[in-house]
Amino acid sequence: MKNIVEIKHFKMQFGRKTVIRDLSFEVREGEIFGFLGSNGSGKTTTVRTLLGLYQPTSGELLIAGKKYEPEDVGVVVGYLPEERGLYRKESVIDTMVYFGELKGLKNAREWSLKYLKRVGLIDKADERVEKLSGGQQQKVQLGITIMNNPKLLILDEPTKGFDPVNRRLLMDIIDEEHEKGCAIIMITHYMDEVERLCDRAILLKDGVSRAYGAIEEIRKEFGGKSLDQIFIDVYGEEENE
Amino acid sequence: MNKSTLKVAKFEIMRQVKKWSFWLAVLAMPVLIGVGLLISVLVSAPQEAPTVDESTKIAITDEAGILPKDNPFNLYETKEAGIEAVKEEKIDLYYYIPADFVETKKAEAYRIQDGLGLFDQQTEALKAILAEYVKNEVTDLETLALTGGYTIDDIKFTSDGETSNAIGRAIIPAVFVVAFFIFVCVFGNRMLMTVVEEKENRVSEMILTAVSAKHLIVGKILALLVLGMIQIAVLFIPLVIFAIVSSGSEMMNTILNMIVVDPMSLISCIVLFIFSILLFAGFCTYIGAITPTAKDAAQFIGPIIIGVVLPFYFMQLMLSGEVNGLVEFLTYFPLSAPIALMGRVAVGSISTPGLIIGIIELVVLSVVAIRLTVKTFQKNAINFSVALPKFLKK
Repeated sequence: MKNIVEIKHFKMQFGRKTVIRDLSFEVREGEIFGFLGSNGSGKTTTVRTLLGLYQPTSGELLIAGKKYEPEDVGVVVGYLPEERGLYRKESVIDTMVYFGELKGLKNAREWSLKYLKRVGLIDKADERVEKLSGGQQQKVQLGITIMNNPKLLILDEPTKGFDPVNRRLLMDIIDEEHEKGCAIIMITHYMDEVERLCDRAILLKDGVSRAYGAIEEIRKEFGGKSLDQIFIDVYGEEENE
Repeated sequence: MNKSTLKVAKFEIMRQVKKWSFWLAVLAMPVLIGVGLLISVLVSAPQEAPTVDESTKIAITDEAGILPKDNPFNLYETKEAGIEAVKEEKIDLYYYIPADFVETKKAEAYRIQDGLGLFDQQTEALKAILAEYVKNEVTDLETLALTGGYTIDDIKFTSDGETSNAIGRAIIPAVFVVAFFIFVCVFGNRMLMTVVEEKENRVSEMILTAVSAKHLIVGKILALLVLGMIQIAVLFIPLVIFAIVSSGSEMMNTILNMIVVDPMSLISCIVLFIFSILLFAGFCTYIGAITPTAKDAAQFIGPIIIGVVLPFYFMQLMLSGEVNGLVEFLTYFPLSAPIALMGRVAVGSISTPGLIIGIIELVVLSVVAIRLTVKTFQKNAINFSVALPKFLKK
């Protein structure tokens, strides 16, 4: 299977602070990949650098063999960042159409209306975003993320703030995109989700990889423990030392 | 032009023109100018036509002996009697001309208060009456010479010996100055906010993975230019229509004949206008890029606008054509350069090399400012809690 993401010897410093020391991993086409680590371990920094929002101190971060450019028509990437927001004063449909057009979606209006109908927001299409509840806004953000058949979805703590209904919706959509052959990188703290959904994963600590590979291989490496326990063990090392 | 830039510009234009607040701001300027003109016409109207008419009962006690004894206003022998007549409303207006009028140059008027009386011109009636009587004593020529009621055609020559028409030449550059000033007033704040909005709404991370910072910023600036043109069109199109409709009138013909279209001056103004707007946009968007919130950005608009309109504070100096250190400073100081340069083109007080240096400065600075904005926005766009640089905090 070909790699859709390749990260080679990635190092990132902000001033004197080293966030990522030497990170290398790949994400394969069509797989669901878990990107794990505690808060501040460098997961979001890695993703932002992969998407060109930060410049790496050194190393290579490639999507489909190239540095990511937002307007490159090569690979469509859907990104649901941890810090989420929308244009509050604009209507739901105008916001979605705008993002759709920027992502090169030709029938952005039709697609958006179809999506809004699916998630039960069709009657809110002409409402201002600020009039929507938090959960409804998250559905709109999710719609924007999966527009234009992405080949790579990057979801940074996707279930954060989602109620159980929206969480189910999100999982359904992840399944659908996966079935279409989309590779998915999931940054999450929920290890049960990783065990259930992910094919492979990487566990980051202090800017280096502490575990990397297929879920079963990682578990085997740590004596058959659950991912939850592995996470606790890795992050508990420091305290024990 | 890049497709993404155009998509951003389209979105930014459409979201503004759909808002009533945009049209309120756009229409406010011509409406305010119209109201201002109307008020000035109303205020100036009584000065041209005194409100005293034939039905106004006037009495004059002339102790100076300017008027003949048998004039119809000579109703009361003494000042006291005249004042009493006003109080009893036997007459509307009473004038007292004292014996030492020539020395003091002061007369007195008495009447019943009517409203605030700020704009009435009853005191003018005495001047009209005295002038009417006195003009019978002198020739028209003497009257004209004494009153100065004539015009002087002031014909000047340029150093090349050509007839100069400084005002006519200044009209078109002045239009550019006015258009730029309006743009700054109406769109300054919007320019600051347009870049900070993505950060404040936490949209920047999502949007920057769909469009590059460069195309996003350039698209936003392009949208503001189009919106600015709409504002200027709303202001000037009615004036052009008015000029066309009243083109047959003597006044309009005089004005139109006075306007001098100097190709070099016109081209200079167009270039200066475009890059002045780009430079101003660069400044404003840069502030938007370095500030974390709209509230932080808003406090910069005042100082920026003061810097831009600084040449207006030294208008007399700028219009005098005198070139000194202050004028040169205003001409090349980045914030004040746009209005100072266009103003000096209007009065013809800038040399060709000076103008070229000014244009180059605007072009270079506007490009640098916009590039800096793009870089800063790219760097700060996802630092939602980014603090202001220390030097700005101070």
